[in-house]
Amino acid sequence: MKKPELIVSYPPHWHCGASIPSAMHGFLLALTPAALFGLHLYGMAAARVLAVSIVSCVVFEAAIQWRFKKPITVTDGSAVLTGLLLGLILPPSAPFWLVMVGSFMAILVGKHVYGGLGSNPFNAVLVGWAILKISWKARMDFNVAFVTVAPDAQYPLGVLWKQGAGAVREFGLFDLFVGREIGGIGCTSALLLGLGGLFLILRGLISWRIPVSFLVGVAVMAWVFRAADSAKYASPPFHLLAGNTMIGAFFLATDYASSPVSKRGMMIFGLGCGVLTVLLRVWSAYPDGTFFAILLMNMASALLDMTRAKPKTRPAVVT
Amino acid sequence: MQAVSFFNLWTPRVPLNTDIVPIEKLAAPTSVRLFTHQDDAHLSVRDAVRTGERLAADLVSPVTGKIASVEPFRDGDGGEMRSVVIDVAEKEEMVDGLQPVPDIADVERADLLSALSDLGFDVPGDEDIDLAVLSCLDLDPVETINQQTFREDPEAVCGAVALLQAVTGAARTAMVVTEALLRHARKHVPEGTELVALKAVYPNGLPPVLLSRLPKRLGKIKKGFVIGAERLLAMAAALKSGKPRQDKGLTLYVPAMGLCKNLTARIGTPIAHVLNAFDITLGPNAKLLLGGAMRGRPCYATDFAVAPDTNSIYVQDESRVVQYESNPCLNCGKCSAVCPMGLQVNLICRYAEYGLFEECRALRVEDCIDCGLCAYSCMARRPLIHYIKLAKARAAEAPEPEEVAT
Repeated sequence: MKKPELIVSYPPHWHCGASIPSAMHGFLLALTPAALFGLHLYGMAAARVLAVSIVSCVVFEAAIQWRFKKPITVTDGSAVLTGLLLGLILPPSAPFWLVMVGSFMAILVGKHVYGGLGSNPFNAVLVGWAILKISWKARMDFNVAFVTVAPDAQYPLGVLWKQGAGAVREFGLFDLFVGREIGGIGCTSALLLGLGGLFLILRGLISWRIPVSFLVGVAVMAWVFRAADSAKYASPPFHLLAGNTMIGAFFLATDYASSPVSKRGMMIFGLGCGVLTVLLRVWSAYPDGTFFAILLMNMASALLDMTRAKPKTRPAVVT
Repeated sequence: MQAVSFFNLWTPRVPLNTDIVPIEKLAAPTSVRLFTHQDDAHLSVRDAVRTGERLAADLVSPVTGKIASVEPFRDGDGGEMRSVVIDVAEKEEMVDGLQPVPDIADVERADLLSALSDLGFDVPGDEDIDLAVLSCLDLDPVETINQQTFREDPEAVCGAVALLQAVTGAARTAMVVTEALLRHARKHVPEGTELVALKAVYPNGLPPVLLSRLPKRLGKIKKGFVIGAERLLAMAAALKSGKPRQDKGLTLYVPAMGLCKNLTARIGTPIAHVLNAFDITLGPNAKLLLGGAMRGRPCYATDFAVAPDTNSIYVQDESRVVQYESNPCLNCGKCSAVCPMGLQVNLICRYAEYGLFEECRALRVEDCIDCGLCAYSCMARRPLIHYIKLAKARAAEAPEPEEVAT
């Protein structure tokens, strides 16, 4: 009898079935409602921005991996996700070259200079966004950018920043909740982003800790300001629903590589993001500080993982 | 089994099999293969061996017969052993001097331990065990032998707690069952023994995890002893009859054939004999695993044999074989979240990958119990247990770091 050929390998011999592509597809699926809503609101303008950002991210990733002589892994979906997220936080009026510069910076400076997927200390999407935000202020300013798309609309956080809490009464909380406001293509609908985030949590792709502590941080800090001067500062629900809070809490702060992994670290990270978001909205030179808050907390994430509690002394085991 | 639902929250759960699988007796083979880790055993071919004869410090013969071969043997991890093949004689002959111990009540612990050692059970003689636990949970998700042993004779299993107490000298005893078995256990559990139900989820059956999941009412445990129902019952039976340990209960799991059986097999039964008994053919590139899906040791050939610690034989066909590759880590943190020992697996494995074994030791890599949940959950499919084993081996080789004076 011929001896059977057997495979010998280390345990475990089972796997839960998760993979990088399936995780990335999960994120893409979770973002789809928000993206479709953006397309519904802004039509071809939004479609153009999303298409350019996704395609250019994929092309830049392949080109950079080829240039760096690394295995080309664009099929794993991570570049598509980077492109989609970048497109969703840009205004629909962004010109194609702006989107391409953002994509290039996100993929190169955000991701590949550190060694590629999983090695980026900062959220790659936000690195690309921050470079655009600082370099082309006017094109990234929602009030300016929307002049051609929706001339009458005002960016809620812009109004709050310029005119104080009294002026934002005109924005109904329900409008903000469903997304009847101007803003990034996919950032406006708290409802759809929240549903996407819930899907990610149930699917096991993100832990609830970062988004929940993020939102708690925003609410608590907004409440503190509100309690100090209710005429000047906006209410917690306004801060939770307006601007980039939801996409930041569920999709950007939860980026694997740039966020902590320990339970305590995740909670502190999320709280820090939330608190900084409101502080930056109140005191910084920009109407919305969500993304800068996340980038700032990214710097602390390695440190936060060191705050992990020491392992307990366990009983000695005899068998 | 191993059906993962689409929605499974942050940390995947690996349920234990709680099916009722009756225990069958497997016909004894005509030759057995036994293993010893001792080099100095003087064994030569054609020596006659009687049942209960001590062949090496770690080996008592379960059969009567003649030694057919003594040769070096490598286990699936590459470790070296010696194998002793014995052709079984038709008539069984007991070695002289084995006495049954029908009543353990008035036997000293030292005498009990030496009697058990003669019968083929090596129980450590630690002095300061403060809690002895009888576990009816299985060690691996493919195994049901401990649960079934309890199901088939709950009275005998519960009765064996007295033996557990006598063997360990522990002040307190506890009995751990799955939630489904709790109702049966209540009826039979002896007075003074704490009864605890744990969820039938891997790795609750692994002794270090089991001890850490016990409820607070059991108090602080410095040193705990954990034994499975199958082994404890075999001990009790051996003491009662004065016959050495001959059989081992195990689960045979061949999902490709829809086969899941609990067996009592003679110790030393070659795996090929077990496979033939159920007409199991191994396809190309299958895996033959002793000890289950999560921690099982792989066999490279079917002439491995049932050892006293073989709790299951699992045949995994090629289509279910998982490939782990050295992909980059995404830092998603699931490995650390699932780790029952609370280790920072993401950091340990990245350090190990780049040869920073000192850092691995600082993160207490030696606490790892090889449960395999980290690699099971890793979405990049990194060979995390492989990295950890490397780190453990290298950390053990390196000299202890000097204490820094403060």
